[in-house]
Amino acid sequence: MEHIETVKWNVLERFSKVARFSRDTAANILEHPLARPIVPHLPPGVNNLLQSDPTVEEYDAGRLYLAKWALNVAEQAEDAARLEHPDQLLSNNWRKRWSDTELKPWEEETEVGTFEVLSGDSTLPPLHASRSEPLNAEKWFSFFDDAEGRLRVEISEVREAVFRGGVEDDIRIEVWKFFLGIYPWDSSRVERDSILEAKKKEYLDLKREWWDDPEVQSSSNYKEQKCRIEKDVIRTDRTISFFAVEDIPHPDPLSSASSTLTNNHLESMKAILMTYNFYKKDLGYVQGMSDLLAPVYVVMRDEITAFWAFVGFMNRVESNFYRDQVSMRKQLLTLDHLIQFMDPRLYKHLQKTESLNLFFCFRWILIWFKREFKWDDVLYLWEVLWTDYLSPQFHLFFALAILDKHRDIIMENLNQFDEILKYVNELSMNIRLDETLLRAETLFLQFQRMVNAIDRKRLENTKETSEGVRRRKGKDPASDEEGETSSSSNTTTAKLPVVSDLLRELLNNESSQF
Amino acid sequence: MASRKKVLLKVIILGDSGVGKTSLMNQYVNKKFSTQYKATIGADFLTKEVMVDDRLVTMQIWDTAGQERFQSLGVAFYRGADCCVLVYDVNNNKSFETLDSWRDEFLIQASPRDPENFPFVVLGNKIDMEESKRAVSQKRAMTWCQSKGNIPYFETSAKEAINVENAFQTIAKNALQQETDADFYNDFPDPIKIDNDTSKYDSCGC
Repeated sequence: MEHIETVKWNVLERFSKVARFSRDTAANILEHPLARPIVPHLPPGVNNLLQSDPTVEEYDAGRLYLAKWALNVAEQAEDAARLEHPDQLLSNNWRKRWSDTELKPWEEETEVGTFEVLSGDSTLPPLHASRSEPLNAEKWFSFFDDAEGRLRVEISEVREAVFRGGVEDDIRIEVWKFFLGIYPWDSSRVERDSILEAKKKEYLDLKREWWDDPEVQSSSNYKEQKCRIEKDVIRTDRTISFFAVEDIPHPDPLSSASSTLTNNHLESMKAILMTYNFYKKDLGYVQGMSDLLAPVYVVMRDEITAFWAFVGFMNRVESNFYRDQVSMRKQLLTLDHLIQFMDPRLYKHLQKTESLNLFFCFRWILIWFKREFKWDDVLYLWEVLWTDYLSPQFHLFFALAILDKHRDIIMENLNQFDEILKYVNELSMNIRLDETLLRAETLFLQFQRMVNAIDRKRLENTKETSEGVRRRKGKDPASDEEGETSSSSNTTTAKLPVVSDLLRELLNNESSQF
Repeated sequence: MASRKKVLLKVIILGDSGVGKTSLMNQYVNKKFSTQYKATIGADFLTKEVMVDDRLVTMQIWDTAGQERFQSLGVAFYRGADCCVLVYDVNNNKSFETLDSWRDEFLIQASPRDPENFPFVVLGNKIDMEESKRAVSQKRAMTWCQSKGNIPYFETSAKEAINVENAFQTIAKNALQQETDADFYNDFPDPIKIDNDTSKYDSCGC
């Protein structure tokens, strides 16, 4: 049996390499005398690869299987390589994306290629992304002065520390109150105490709007929202100990869930979401919000603080839930531009497979990767993203980083939108967080460098052109604003990749939130 | 090595949030039930190979988010559907009343060539709950189904695996019929994209 496993491994390995070229080749391998006894032991989908009509392009579980298998092999190889050369892995993809002569769309007709523009400048230091240990209590308290408890370092220093490593469990509750806007960064200890007092009163006033008002509770909107919240809360993170216990009867005998037991934390979650529903009347409760609340609630440990922390989080992401979905579309479009800019080959593949709606990234963005990682990782990822340290939309670089890691596998194995969607959905709980954060930072730095290089190049070309124009026409270059585009000699500029407004927004690092 | 064309039947499950779409799919494909499936965000699918009329076909069953505002980005997977399953909760009147909008929405977004004869199947789920909770009678549901061109109707329980197998057999059968017809018509036209009308329902079915 061990022998069969070994041969099966070898067959699959070869198979995965050739499946992308043609099914004929694949068939040849499987018909090899050594492989034939293995065929019955192959997973069912793989056999189907051979039996199906190669001209009919349809969803194929076999391709998906091979893709996952290829990922496994790649990760093992990476692990081995990382031990020897920890820094080299990330730069490999970079080279792959750009040094491939097969596809550099804006470069085909130019003499000075983008890659040279970007990489030719040997004076630039190598890109260096890094992660560090989580912020601990000692370091955190050292950021504040003893007397008044005011921040005594630049906010950016705090941001960087949290961005690089997240925070340790014991200070999370305090740190989040700052990042989620409950405490202003310039507040003193006394001010923070009085803020909490005021917030407490404000919450109770808000909650009273529905909590003991029979008239409100009889409205159809209330009933509908109550039911929706109820349905979602009882299926949100029930494996977490806070929410797992069922020790009190359902408080509402008329509810459709009245026969089920509940617990105080679940009831607090419902109360918070219902209060939010009244606090943001135009938006109300929308599916997905319970996913965002659960970690915030568990970290804050009480209803009132959790409510305000949740409000702070929602202030950043509430547009994800708007009925018109404009914000979701915009983020997916930004990601589309980003892929096109950073990885034209992958972009082409997504185009070819009609996957550019990027629907498989929808869940990632809507609830900030909540369903993709285990609980502790979610806490860590969110606090990293809240820092806005590199970009207020760093989550899009994070999304790009996941795709980047799987780009080869996707391009080599997956030929259909549904295959890609399934593959990506199944990455859930199987993504390495620190590695992805490193990759995301590297991608951000590469992106930033490219934009700068392109801008510089454009400026140089404009100058050259203007000087040329001045020499020819002998007049003020400022009057010739069309110089850049009208010049026929200036093909390089025309072929430079376009840095769209959406892409430029990614570099706008002014934390607009708090 | 070209053999008889492989058949992939694409089935879309629609209906209000919490009526049991994910549960039905998992009961049918994996023979499993859990009260704690998370609310579906985005979309996912499962596949299952089944025999229909002596043909081996692959059913690809798409599970979607129940809150309507999240459907607008989902046009991508409506395309090429062979059957649409509309699910409501028999204990929940609202979830029944929104079936009309789910059906209309599907026909607009998927724009099948012959909308009049496109196969739908309606499932009234959660019949395991006590009778006193029942909000929609079998008769009422069947009347609605008849009025929409005799849509096949099943009362199911994903929790207790009642009628699920049966319902999906019909779904597969009708989907295969549609797939064969669609071949005859040579595929779907491009779907018409309709911008999200903000006045549309966004229902929980309560």
